[in-house]
Amino acid sequence: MKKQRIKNIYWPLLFPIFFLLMAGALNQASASQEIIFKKQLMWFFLGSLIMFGLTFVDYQKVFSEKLVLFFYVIVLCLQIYIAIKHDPSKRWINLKFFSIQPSEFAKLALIFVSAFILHKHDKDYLDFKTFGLLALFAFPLIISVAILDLDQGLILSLIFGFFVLIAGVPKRVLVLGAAFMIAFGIIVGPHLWNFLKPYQRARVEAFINPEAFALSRGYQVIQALIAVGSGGIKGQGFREGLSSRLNYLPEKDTDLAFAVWAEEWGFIGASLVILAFGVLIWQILKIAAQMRDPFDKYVCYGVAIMFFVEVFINIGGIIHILPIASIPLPFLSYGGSSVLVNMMALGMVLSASRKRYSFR
Amino acid sequence: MFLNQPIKSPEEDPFYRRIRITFVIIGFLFFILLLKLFFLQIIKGEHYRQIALKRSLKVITLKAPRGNIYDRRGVLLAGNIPSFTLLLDRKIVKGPEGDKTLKKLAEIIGEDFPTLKQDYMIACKKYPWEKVPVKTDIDRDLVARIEARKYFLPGIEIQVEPRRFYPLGEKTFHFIGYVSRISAKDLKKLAAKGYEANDFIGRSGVEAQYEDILRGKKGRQLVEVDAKGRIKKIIAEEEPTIGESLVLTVDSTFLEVAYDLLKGKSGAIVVMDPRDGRLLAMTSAPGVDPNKFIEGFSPKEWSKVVEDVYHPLLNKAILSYHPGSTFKILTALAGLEERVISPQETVFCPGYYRLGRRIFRCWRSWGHGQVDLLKSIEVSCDTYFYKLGEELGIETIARYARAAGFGQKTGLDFPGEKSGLVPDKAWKLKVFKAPWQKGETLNVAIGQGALLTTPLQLGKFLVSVVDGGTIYRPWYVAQIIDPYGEVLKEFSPVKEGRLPAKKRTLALLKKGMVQAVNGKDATGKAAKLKNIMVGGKTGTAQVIGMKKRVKSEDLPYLKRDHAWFMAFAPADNPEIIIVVFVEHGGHGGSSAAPIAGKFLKFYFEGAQPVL
Repeated sequence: MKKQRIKNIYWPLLFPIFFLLMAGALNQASASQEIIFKKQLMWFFLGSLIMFGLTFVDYQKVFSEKLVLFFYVIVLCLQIYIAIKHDPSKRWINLKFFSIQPSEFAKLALIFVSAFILHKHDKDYLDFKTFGLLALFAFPLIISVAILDLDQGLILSLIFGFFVLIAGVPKRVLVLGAAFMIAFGIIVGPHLWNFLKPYQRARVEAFINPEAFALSRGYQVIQALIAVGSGGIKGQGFREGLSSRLNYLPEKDTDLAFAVWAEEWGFIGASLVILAFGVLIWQILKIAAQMRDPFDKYVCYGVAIMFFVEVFINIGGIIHILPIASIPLPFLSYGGSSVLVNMMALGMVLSASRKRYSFR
Repeated sequence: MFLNQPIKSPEEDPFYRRIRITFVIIGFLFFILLLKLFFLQIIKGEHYRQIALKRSLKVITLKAPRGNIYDRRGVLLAGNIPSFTLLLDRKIVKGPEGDKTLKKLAEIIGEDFPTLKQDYMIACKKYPWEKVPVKTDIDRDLVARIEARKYFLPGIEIQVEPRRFYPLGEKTFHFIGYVSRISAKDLKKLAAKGYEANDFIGRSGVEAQYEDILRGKKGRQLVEVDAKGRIKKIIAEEEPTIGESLVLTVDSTFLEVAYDLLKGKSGAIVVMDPRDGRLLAMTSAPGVDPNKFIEGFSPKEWSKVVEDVYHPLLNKAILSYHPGSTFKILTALAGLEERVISPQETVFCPGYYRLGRRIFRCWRSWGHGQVDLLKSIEVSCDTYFYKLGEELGIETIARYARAAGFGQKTGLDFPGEKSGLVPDKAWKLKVFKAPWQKGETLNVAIGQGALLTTPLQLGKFLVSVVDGGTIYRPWYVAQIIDPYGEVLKEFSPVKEGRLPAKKRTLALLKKGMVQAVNGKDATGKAAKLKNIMVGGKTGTAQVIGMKKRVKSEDLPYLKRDHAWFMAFAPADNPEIIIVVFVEHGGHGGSSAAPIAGKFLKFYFEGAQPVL
């Protein structure tokens, strides 16, 4: 029985996870102070426990419909509580020994709720009622997060958008929706621009012309580019990165952790990390495609999308494809909540993957 | 291909189809990530590597300690002491962040924030480069306190640099000169010579003249700096070379005594060795403390210096003034050599001399009676020299004056020397476009009129009279030595030529000058010494023309006469000459001669002079 369990583990998924955990530990060892590095290792350990714990149970049994709803409500309440306090520097809730960032858990809550709503829906295209239900649960979460943390809000809306797409939108509606979005952007866009907070506006301006703001807003952009670029093919070596070692790179343990990695391990290391993420997402999508239970399908799909959005926005910002966003890169950035959420999500995917062989 | 076959056929299962589309989109976007990464790291990798290196590698110059300046006995006249300078980086210390740092700094220093901020603003304006010196010469205690909190004070740096120090302060100000921080204007001109921001540069006197020898050669350090400008690692180093030192011919005690003797007055003293023309002392009073130029003057202190009527910034030993009666020696020399007069010939002085319709007064309104050459020097009779001057004519006087070194720089390697003026007919025509008047010759013959000489020129002339006619170029550097005392270059006297005078003439002039100090009616009595025979000549130069003789003491300061006295001793074998000039000092015999006397007394008896 026990052998069977281990055999049932979906190994192709574990390899990239293991590689990314190693890379993350190395990166924190280089970029952070010792205490942060140790904390990160602690989170990795805790996260691994949760991941393997979830692997060997049927997570559907653990997360019953009621519990998921409860989880969703708790996260939403915490998020609203934080939003009401409205202090952008306090996106965390301080527990005695560590602090949690509810906006990370909001992603998980959104995936659960969306999967629950969608798995009961078995038409080829999304009907209006289901869409309304989806929006009813998603929007409060997205808005309450976006008030304080636009970047996480953006990630949530992208996850929501992908769920809508996977549930099926008729071509007509898609075209109409796209047209509507463009019109909306043109009309409301400029007003929205004024509505943005100065630091958010600065990020976009710095993206367009970083040199003009080299000492203020563009500083992060430029320093990230120098760090990544100066890595070259082979990199400058572990703990040898000029930008990171001499503190030219800001936020090097969190938002810009990938720049440290790219600088010290070069194109070889950086592309390996991107490939590992690629393999991870590919394998999750593959599992999603194999699942018979629609709930498993949607959860796996949501997790894959979550990883993709996080990775693409973080790395894209660092290598100047997108404006720099303040979100962690899974595993490579420091952050307890982020590690726990990612590992929990992977645990559920692993748990689902075990059902490949079981027939109900 | 990549995804397992679904249970239903792909066409039937829209979920599978959509996952496939998602997969393609994600794959495409990841491919873009890799492409951009390839572009940044492989194509532009070298470009960014250069930026990264340039940003973190800095070359720091290590300042070379300036060479020392010693007097002839090895007493330090200018040296270095280690000092700490507080530098603020204007690129980092600015805006509200900078104010925060300044507030912290003010707390550490124990100053209030507005004062410190004001100092910083002033320094920023004064030194237009990146790192601005705000406090010079801060004490070690403060250094320790700042260094301990350095992490919280970004943009603040403490630089250890050798700081110039002048033990005798204002007493050597005009001779040794001073150094101060290089100005933006000078830096532009001198950058090619290796000067950099915050360097000190010799501004006047010996410090300026021997700048290239004293300054040494800077060292360099290649270091790695972090984002806050803190040095993390020294990669390579080239040590600085200490500047070479100077050993001068002057004596520090002479410099001190000479300066002290001029206390409360404005004037200059030049002391030379008549045997080879070396300077033993050259001083000008009042002076300014040269150490102040390094620490910086407060605006109040500076305006006090600038507005002082005694002009403490001017080196009067090398500026030109009317020489007054001291010049009569030159006139007498010309008369004897041209055989216009003989020593025995006498002139009757009724207290004035008549030239045509004009009356030229002798300084003694009731006259000197019958005077021969020696007597005329002793009593400084103007009438005698009016007559002599008329007989010689201006061209002859000018010829002899130039041959004796007047009207041109003495050749002392010293900055700022004036050449004085020897007027003649051509000069008058050129400058005033008017013919020469005979009366002007008479004025020049007694050292007035347009004639201008510097105290140093008079010293050089007296040396040549006293040593039997050899003209020495004045000099003051004996040796250039390296930091370990090894002699690199030795200097020796330079003979420029001879006075156009016979030994007998010069002996007669010396005799006249001895009488002018020791005679019955001597004008220079105040310089007389008990055991040593002193020779000398007074001079009282009118600053403005007066219809009537007025006592100088009754005039406002700026209209009073200049007092001169030049002397040599011992008379039979002179080893020292001195020229004393007191600006607006009144009568030479009563104002300048006592100073010379006190100095000579100190020289021969070693006693501290009674001031």
